[in-house]
Amino acid sequence: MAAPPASKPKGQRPLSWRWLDPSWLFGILAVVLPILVHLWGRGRGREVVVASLRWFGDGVSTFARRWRPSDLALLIVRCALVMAMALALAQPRAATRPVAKEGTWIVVEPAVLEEEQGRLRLEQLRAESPQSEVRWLVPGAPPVGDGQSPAGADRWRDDQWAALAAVGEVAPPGVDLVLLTRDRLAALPGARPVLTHDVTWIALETPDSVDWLGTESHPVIRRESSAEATRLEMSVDEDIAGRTGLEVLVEVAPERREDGALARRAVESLKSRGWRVSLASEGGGGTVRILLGLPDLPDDPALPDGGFTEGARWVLLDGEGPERACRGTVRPSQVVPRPFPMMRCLGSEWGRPLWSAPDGQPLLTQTASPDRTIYRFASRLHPSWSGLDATGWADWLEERWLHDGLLPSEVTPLGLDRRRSFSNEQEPRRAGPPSEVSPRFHPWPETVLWWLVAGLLLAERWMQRRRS
Amino acid sequence: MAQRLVDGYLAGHHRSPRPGEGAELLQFRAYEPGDDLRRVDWRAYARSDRFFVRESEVERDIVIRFVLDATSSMAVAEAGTEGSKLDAARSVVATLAMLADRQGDRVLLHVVGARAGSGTPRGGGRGLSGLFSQLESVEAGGEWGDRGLAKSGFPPRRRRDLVVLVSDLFQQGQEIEEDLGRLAAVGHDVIVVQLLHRSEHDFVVPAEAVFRDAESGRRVAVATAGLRSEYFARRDAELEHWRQLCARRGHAYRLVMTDQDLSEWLPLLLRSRRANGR
Repeated sequence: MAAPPASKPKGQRPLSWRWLDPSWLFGILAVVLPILVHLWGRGRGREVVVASLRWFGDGVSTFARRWRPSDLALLIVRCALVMAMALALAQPRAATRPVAKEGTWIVVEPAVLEEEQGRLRLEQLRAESPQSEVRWLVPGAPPVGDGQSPAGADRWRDDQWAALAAVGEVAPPGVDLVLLTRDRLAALPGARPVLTHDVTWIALETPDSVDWLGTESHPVIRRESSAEATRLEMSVDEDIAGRTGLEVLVEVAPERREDGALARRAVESLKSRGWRVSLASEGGGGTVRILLGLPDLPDDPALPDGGFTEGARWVLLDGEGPERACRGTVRPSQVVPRPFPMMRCLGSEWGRPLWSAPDGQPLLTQTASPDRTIYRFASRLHPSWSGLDATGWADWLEERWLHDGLLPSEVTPLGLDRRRSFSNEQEPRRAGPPSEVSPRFHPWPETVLWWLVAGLLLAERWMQRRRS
Repeated sequence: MAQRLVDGYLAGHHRSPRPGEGAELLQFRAYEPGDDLRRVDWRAYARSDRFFVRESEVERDIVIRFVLDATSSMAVAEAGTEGSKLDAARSVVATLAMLADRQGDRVLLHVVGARAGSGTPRGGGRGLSGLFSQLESVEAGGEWGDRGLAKSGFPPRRRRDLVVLVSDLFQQGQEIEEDLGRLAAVGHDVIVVQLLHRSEHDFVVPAEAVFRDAESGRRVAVATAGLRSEYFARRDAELEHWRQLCARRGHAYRLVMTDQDLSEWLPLLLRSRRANGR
């Protein structure tokens, strides 16, 4: 375990930066343009036609124009202007990294402590402020003792706004709340609570990966992996379901045997669709390949006896569970590149489906990170969704967004492969000032940069005019 | 502009052109009882079966010759504007010509320099209207050159005319001076109006620039900060030279900035000439 960092002095809050559109940072390279212009213009001067040179004197001769300090100053201003514009367009956000202090409640979402990252962060906060109290993010805010989740924590899993409001009721006035959650809090339904306490939200970033598994022409299974869970979704087209020779490998670490339940469900699901399914396990190192060893799996006489069939085409399924369990060994030949754009959060637990097709496939999903809320739409029409059309989606979405207070101009008619993103500022605020519970990523650096751009522009014009 | 200025200045002081007997036809008009029968145009009667009377302008004694400098240097525009010295010179000539015409004097225009094909007298127009059309068509170009005045059609005859030279007096050598000397030798009464832009006079130029001579095309890159005192010294010396030259030869001389209103300086010039008995 990594040693906790040294405590910061009280009141000192290191800045944390985030760029909403970091691709604009490449714009800094454009700083070479003013440099090139200055180099090109060196030795040249503006030509002025005069009636006669008689009064200039006979001794006047051509000179090589030399650089003056004002030229250098102008170059610096122009370079700074370009850089400031690039930085501003990248939309920087700054936050003060919260430092726990005395009189602070560290309010922890129970699921956070199931993850190594969350435990480390909590230890760090505790080390920074040993006097702070650690409480659960559930009504009553019971103290976190041995790390065991409080009873009924699952009830509040999807209604953490309410849990936070309940914590605010029991927290003594003047106590600062440091909220430690996974980053899905912003996507939760319900009203944001209005709290009298100073709330700092620390949202842990969860790494994620999504890929498709299956044959090259037919992506069959979509796997979403994160530190929290792995979710499998099967997209079985009719022509795939009838295929033979397609076998499934379920690979699960032995110490996570409870994950076998999902593997079993996956296999049963595939079997019900007419697939020929095999289960396999393999030993070696710390990983065991299990063929029939999963205790929860029923014996299936149809399964092969010693591993999967040689030469068969394999599809890998992971079990749901913590990180370790979902990182099975994937052979490169078994990973199929995605043939079309990915729907990152559809159906996952940390993206909230807002709209689903009749067959249950989510069409619109809301997901959130600390600095923005993103709405994503399914980019593929399934044959069973024939009752829907893009116009119907658009009407429904527009109606919903108008209801939620989104600007109508932000709503565009949807077509296939259409995706839209909205920043958190456009997310409807249902109650209370958002700063009370929002992550403290402020846009002030961007504002400062735009003011700087304006100032530099004026300075450039003034220097240019003075020079000429 | 010229019309307004002339009207304002001449009101009640000058006579109009007098219709009467003379060599130059002014107009035809219908016969009225009392008209001299000798002035009836019988050819017109034969053609139209109506009586018309010929009216001719009284022969004018004074010829005013305007010498317009249309060399390339006159095409230079004032900084920040589109008005050239040639434009200002046009106004000066037009105003003086209109004034002279109201007094019954003959006016002629001689253009020195000018782009090829421009500024030549047109066949249809004579007198003031011809001068105006000539003024309108002139475009600056070229240099004054040796005997530039003679090349402009200025007659070498020994008759004393009033000559008005409108120029910036920028010369490559001594050519303008020499032509002025020839005018003085013939005995012409000469008025010299030197036109300069304010920026030329006050040396309002960029701190560093490549300056190109409009006539010679010579280019020099100059940092003007160190040149200012020398420029002013040379300017003052040359202006003083022209002033003294004109005084010595009996020419009237007036230095005019192109941004000066004609009404500011033209009456002064005319009154000073009248005071000198001209």
